[in-house]
Amino acid sequence: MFVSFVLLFALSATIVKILSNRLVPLGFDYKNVWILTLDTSISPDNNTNRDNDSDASQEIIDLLVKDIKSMKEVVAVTNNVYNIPYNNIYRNDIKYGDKLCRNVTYNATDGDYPEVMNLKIKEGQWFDSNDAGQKETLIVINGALKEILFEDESALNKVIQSGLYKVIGVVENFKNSGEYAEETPHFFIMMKPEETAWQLLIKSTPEADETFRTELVRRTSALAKDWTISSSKLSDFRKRMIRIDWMPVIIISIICAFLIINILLGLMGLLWYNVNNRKSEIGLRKSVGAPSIQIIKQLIGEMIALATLGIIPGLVIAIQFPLLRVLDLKPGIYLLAMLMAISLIYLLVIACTLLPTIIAARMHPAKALHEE
Amino acid sequence: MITLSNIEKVYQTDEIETVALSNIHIEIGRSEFVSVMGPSGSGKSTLLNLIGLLDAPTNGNVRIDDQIIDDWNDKKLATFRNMMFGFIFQSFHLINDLPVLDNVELPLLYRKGISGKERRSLAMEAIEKVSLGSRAKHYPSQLSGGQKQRVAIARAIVGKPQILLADEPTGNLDSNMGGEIMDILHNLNKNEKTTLVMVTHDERLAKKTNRIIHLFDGMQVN
Repeated sequence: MFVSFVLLFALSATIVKILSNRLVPLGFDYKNVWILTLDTSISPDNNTNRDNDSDASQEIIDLLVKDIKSMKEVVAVTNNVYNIPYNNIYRNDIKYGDKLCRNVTYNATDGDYPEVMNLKIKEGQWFDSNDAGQKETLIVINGALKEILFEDESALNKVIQSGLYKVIGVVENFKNSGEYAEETPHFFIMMKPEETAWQLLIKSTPEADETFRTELVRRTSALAKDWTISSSKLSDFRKRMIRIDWMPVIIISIICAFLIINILLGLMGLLWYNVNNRKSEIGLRKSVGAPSIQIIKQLIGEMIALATLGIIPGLVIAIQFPLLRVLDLKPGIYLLAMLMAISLIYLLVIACTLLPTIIAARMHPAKALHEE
Repeated sequence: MITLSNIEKVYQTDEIETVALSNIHIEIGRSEFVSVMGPSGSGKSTLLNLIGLLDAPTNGNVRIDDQIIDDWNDKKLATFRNMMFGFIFQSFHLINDLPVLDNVELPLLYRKGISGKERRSLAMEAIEKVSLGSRAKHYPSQLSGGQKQRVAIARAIVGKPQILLADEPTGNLDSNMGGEIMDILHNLNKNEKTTLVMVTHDERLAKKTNRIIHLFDGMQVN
């Protein structure tokens, strides 16, 4: 009972955490967004790469964007470098004064990104091509990064990372690891003119289907003959990320289910044995005036008391988590997880004890008294 | 006080049907002390169970204190049993995990409107009546057979029932102990005006009661 409580607590805490993350808006729209990955360096006939022929590459990319925008299903197109949502490989530590935020994800993009991703600007503004040529690189940050670096202070026009970046806007939310993950710090860098996009993010109409994807790859490959171009849907990245987010829940659930089934079988066996050994007592209690419901209540009460003895040491351990801040979770999540684990254990104990107790309590007192 | 009319009790299993009692007509008056006698398997205990509403007849009806017990639900039967009857069993039926005082308190646990303090006091009073005051905190395993039966009597009388049903109360005791138990039962009948129905094999004990009902093969015999 103790072990199952601890496991159920872990499971409940994970579920509560994931679901409470879900309550925070994602901050962008993954639907109808296509990713066109542009690999300019691996063509066997092409000795150029991004670094030494970026101008030529950008020219081709401009052509691609123009052509893609001419397709009737396309709503907007944006250039992107480094991370795309649900796929966070590139990280950097960001410093402002004495505050340091580690492992911040980022991507470089252009002025069309908010339209493609349906971002909402909370403070300030997004950058556009008119902002080029400034001393610092302009960035827009998400709420999580703003809270760590600036807390209640305004983030606008603050220069961070030793004068490298200047914050010009804050987006309402941007959960780059998806809706079931916590909102982690992220910033958007304004792409420099000399930078070449690694991906094109394309917002399409809902009608765009596999035919659109085939046509998209066909047309772009025709324009950039030496490049390798592949396409994918942002919603597919999302599915993959959801699987990763829920994997611990599935694993703990399987262990919990196995453990709980064993415990419940043991509990049922114990109760059958207990009831069989106490038939005479049950008969006696009924003969002196105990109604069946009272007998049921008594037997279930005894099992709940037994379960409570198992839960208490588990609870003592569970309480240490918020007190010692073992994991970076809010105390409310632990509290809810404890309540869920306790309720589930009691519910299972009651479900298990119900059948044998009802059978025992319904026995005629005369019959029960003669069974010793 | 107790009226059994045209009682029949049949135990049905998949293969056989056993008639435990048939054509029983019994009337027992208030404050009467009646013995039920008969060989083993004659239906004595079944009769006592039917009187005590621990079992239901297959046919016929049981009337207790002018109330026809017919189609009463579990809760109503339990409440009526609690108020009206006290049971004394041959094998005592004490709960070994509970001390004497708690065993005696048991019927009062199922009676509404009695505080814990009042329960304790009534239980102690009943224990004193059977001269076991010094044993209130002992467990059944620490008592002799006679003492156990006296605890069972205390438990039966703690709720001040109008009817006491005793199923071979001296069956497991030696003659001295049996005599003591019978004295207690006679005193209850005489002083408290409790109606007593006792199943016994001992004709000597039966003769000391007001009346003997003889059973043979589930039927009343004269």
